Amino acid sequence: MTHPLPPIEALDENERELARIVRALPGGDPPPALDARILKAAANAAAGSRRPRSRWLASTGAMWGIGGAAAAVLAFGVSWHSMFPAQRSAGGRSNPVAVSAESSQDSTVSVEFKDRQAPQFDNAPPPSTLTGPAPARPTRAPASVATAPTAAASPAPARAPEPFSADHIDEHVPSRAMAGASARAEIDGYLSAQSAGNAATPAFAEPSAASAKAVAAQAQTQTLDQAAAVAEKSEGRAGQTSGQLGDQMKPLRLKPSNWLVQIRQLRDQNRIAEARTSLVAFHKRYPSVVIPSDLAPLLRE
Amino acid sequence: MQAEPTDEELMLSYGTGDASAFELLYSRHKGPLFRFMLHQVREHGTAEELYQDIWQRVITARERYRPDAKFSTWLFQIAHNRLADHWRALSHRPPAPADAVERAEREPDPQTPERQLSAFEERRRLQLALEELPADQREVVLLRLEQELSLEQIGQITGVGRETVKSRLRYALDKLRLRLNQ
Repeated sequence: MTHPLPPIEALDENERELARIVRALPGGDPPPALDARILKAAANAAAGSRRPRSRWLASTGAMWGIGGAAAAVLAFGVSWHSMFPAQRSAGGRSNPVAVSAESSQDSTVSVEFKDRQAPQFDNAPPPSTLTGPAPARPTRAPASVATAPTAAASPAPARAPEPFSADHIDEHVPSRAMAGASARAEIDGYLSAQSAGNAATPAFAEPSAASAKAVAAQAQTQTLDQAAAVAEKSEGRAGQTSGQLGDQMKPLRLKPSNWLVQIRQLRDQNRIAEARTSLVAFHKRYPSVVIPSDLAPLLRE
Repeated sequence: MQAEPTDEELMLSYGTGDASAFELLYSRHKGPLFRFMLHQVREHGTAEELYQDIWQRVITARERYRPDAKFSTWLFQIAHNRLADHWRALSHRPPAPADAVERAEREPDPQTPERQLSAFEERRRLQLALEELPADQREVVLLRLEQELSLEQIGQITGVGRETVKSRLRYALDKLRLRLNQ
């Protein structure tokens, strides 16, 4: 202890004699019941002095627990947002992104997939193809299809499948990539309008002269094969192959443009019957495709 | 061999919640303190009441205790204050029995030297002499003779200077000796 020790002042002889008598006076110890009361009060007080620390520790532990849980939730949220930004941006739409993931695939497959699956994606999470090789395009509303960056790459406004004129059959675009982009824009617009239940959107109005011109311009950036595939799939005839038409329908395995080239070759070789038969088969196969004017007389003969 | 903890260590330990430390501390001081209180008020019931109050004050002040002085000094300082409250409440110290002197005189005088008095007679006379002392003198003489505290400690307990303690003690001892030699 640090307190100064008091000076020792021993009792002198007279004091010792009196002290002996004083200590012999009756008195004794306090009664046991009094001792018990005091000790109990002391124990209760000691327990009370420990309790606040326990409460403090308990509250501190609870605060640490709550804080840790909050930090964990925050970390999870941040990591989730950083890991799946594309999914979040595509949460409000589904079809166009699904199409973009198929940019490297055959356009026929792409159209078929979209036609059949688009309604199912309205409220469903984006498919796994979102993380495919094609980059995710910016989210856009269906109404803004015509002004979307991808559509702007095309010289003419994107249009849904319309009766395709084969007059431009020989006008192939030099870049297949540009043609694919244009086709995607067209398909996006069509599916977006369909999913929005807005079939009467001006972009999908009845064919007119203006739209025919637009389609003609579209042909500059779109291959006949893709257009034919769009027409074929939109009519629900996907999957039908040459098996239905026998050996005579062999040209079905050809691309439409090549098929028409083959018909012209037959005609030029004066194999008129074969050319007509092939053309009839072509017309049955692609009824929405306008027969080129130079081949149209074959059907009438 | 481990040394016994001092009173101050025990009190500090109790201040942190160690009830067993208080039990040991209490066992050391309960006898002297109770006797001191009993000799002061001369009545068992009052002595027990004041005694319990004193310990309750110790318990209440457990977390504020600082070992600036010996624990016994601090304990008897509490007792002194409690006694002062007691006397103040009574306005004055209860006077000695009116017939104290007569009773003492009625005691048979063996006409023998002081050393021949029986132990009982010694205690009886001393008891009467203590009762006749003023409260401040009685307190000082009890702290000195019974607790063997130094004048310095008594001064700390009673709140007076060393010379005052020395003077009170001298007067008290003279009266006691006078009573015993009568």
